[in-house]
Amino acid sequence: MIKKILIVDDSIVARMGLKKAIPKDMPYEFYEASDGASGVEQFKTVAPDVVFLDLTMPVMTGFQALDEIMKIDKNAAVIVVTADIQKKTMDRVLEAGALLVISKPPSQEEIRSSLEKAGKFKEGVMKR
Amino acid sequence: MNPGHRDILTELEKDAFKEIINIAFGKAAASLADIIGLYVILSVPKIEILQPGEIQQFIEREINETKGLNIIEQYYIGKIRGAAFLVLSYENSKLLLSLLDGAEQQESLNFSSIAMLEQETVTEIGNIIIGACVSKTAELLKDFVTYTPPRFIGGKFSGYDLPQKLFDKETYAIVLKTLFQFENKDISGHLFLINSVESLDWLKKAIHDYMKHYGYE
Ligand SMILES: [Mg+2]
Repeated sequence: MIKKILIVDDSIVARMGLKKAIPKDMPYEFYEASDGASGVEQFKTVAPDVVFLDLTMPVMTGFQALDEIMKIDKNAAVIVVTADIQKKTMDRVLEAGALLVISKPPSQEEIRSSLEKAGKFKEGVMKR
Repeated sequence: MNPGHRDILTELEKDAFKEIINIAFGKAAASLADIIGLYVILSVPKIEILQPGEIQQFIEREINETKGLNIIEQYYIGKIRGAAFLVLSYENSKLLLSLLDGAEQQESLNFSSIAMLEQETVTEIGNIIIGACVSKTAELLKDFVTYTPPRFIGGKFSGYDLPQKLFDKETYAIVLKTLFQFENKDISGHLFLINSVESLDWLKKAIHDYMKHYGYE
């Protein structure tokens, strides 16, 4: 079951949008970070059930943060939400261990269904 | 709202506009990657509210290149209106050409043909990047823009007069900037979008509509 959600994005508007799109039917706990490095720090201390991760960020990119997160927990459920729609980017982040990639701006439906998939992945019902 | 104040956009509106440009530039990068088969590394865009007299200095500081530059200029006109500049160094333009055409072809050409080919190549690349980026921005803001043909300007930025007719009556312009780099190649360029604040009320509303549509508000 998903309880703790970490949102890593340098755009405050993007973080707000993600939070808004997540259904209110569950008592989720939200954690936020505005760059890759503090995202990794939060990941260590919070141990979230799912991470929404942007790629284009200052200090540490989402690509690097993803690598760090997967090193800490190879079963991490990371959903990459990015404006970088190059196919190679999608291939790379999936290869690096991301569960899903959604392009920006995400629709509410995409956010909800990705969260559902992350839940199934965490329960072991769905494979990467 | 009176566009005579530097706080013409709130921090949240600036953040949203920056995110729109981030998305639009992602689209431009994907188009470019498709066409020239190179992977583009995106960077975090910048947004500044500047007086027309400050724009040139801002651009010079951002590109940090004192040698010759190749600039591709294109105007866009819709409710959102402004000038787009893609700025590349001479060196980078040459590298770009060699990637696209290969060195062999160039050997058979004389010097002026190479210069012409280089100019046409970077102009076309500029046209692709500017078109993809501005059109996607317009789409996200529910606007539609038309373009002037791309114009190639060789030389220094300082020798270039910013479009007086576009900005002379205005106190501020909304300047967006992003850097793009090609992976494994020492090539980078800067894209500037200098937006008029003439339709500021419309722009603010369009940004808020975008935020509402994607659940940001
Ligand atoms: Mg970002």
